[in-house]
Amino acid sequence: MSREFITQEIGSFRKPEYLSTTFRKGGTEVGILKERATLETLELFRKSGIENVGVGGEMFRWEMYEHLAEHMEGIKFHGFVRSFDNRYFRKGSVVSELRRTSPFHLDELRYVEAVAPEEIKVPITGAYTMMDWSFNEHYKDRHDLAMDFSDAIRQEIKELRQEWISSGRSGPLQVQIDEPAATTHPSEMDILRDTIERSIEGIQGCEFTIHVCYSTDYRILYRSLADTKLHGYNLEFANRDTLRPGSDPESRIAYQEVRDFADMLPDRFLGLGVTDVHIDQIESPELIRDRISYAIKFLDPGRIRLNPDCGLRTRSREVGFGKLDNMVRARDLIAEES
Amino acid sequence: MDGIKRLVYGIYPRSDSLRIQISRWERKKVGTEDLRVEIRKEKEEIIEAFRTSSEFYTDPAVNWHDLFRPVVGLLDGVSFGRLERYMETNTFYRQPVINALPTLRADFHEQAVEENLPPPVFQEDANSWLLLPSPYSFYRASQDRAGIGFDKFSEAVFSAYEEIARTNGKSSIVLREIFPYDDSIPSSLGNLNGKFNVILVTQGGIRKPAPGKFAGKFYSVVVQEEELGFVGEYSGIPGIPIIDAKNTRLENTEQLRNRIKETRENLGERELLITTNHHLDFLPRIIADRKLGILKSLGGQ
Repeated sequence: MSREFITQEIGSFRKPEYLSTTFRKGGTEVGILKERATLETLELFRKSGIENVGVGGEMFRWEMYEHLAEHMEGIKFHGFVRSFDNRYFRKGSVVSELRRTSPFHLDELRYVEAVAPEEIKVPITGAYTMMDWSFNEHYKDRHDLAMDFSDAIRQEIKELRQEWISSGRSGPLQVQIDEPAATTHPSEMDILRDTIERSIEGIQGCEFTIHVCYSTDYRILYRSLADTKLHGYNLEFANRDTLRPGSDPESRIAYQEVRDFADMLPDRFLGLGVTDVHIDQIESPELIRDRISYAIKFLDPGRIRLNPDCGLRTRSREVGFGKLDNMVRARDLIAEES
Repeated sequence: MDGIKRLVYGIYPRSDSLRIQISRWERKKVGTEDLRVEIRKEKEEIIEAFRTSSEFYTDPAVNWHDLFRPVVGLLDGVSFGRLERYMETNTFYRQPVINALPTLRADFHEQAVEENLPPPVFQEDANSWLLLPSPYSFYRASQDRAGIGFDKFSEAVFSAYEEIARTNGKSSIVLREIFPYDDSIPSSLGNLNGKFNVILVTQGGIRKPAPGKFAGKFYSVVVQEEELGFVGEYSGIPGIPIIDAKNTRLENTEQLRNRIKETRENLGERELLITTNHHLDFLPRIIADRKLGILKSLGGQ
């Protein structure tokens, strides 16, 4: 029988100031700070009680787009572009054929393997999102550009898998393909599907999940990816829910969509976003419990994992910890009540 | 080029230094008054560049996080909702939630706008056009919890806009769409025509003439080139987007000149308004500056 309600984080966590203020300088000293920040974040995760610690909050990466783009040839940076509010990222312009020049996450995985005996999950920015978040000055169309990103990601996953085997860790390597842009162009769902298939083609011994957030309609995602080899979907829900406690449909308006997941993807698991990463309010264990209780009306608990909506990097470390802590408490409340 | 008018509208990308200052302000390392000074200074610099590059421009709105939030902050009856993706981009906005018929807040002209950076919401630049979201996009981007519908919402919002314009001493308004229309421009969007000079910057989606009559002519309606025929009679100056604000590739000036020449010939040598297909906030600042330079080079002699 599947384990019920495995708790996990999604990826990023706020960097300590000693790292965020020095990160861009690079060099050996910053490398040491990345390791220190990873250890401290893993400690926070342990204290909260979550079971899957990811890669310790992505302390080795500045930002999900830029990190990959910096390890590739063919991308030029002109400066920062707004993501939301005063949050910016360096959006690259693809000016020539893409080529992966060095591993994206191998150093991070090696380090986390060595210091975290817990379950690990490696997030990798997906090819569709890399394509969508780039300015295309070179490729004839978006499909071609996305497929070249897919080839780079497939090469990366193969090397991560090799490292996983070499380390002697048991079980499959968990790989989370981050695709926040997945549903932004409904007419391009075939491109998304092709990139997922190409990115994981022929790779054995991995558990593949996709993470999508702030989508207007998940059903197009379920439909489009139903035939791929993805094992699970880690999705945002809490941002679109109310903050009222209760298990009535109006209060739990966001989680009504879980029914679609259950109907359309009967053999996959769902990473249920139960806490909003864009507000400082730390939802109470009771509110999170109510969200979970509502979801299990539609989906077997063995197919549900619990996570924040998205990475917690936009919140302070204290708030981030509080949200993870209450998520675990909510899981315990459910266990006590059943 | 003769017969050409240029428009720069919408949010302009913040400079790196302002972005960093705002980040410090968020962490309470810079005071609100200091940030207000920085914002004014940056706006003045950008407006100076706009003045030499265009005939018409709006406030550069570098203190706006998105198109709706500052306006929502001026209204009663509309509140801030969840974070929503801004159309098909990697940017987000706080979704407006309509709880009642919107009315202008009594203290709208002096309040510090909640969830926003320090005012001024609008720059006190005498020549700039007032930037406002069109009620059509405002409504489509919102969640209508009160169930008041587009027509009533539009009427109420325009009433608030009139007051905002008068208080700011403005007679000229740019209404900006972020959504394409279903097939035609709703005739209620012309309700300020006659009272103000209005430029309506659309995102296309026009396949037939407006079903009803407009209150008067727009100063200009910016549409896709193939849609010019549907709006000619109520657009004082026909307008088209010719600069791509969604790609860093720089336009070839000579090709643009030829395109403009051809379009004007097709329009019987009428005046033509040219602009960008979105506001320039989608671009890195250095590229936005270069694109502004391209627009400048296409101007009159």
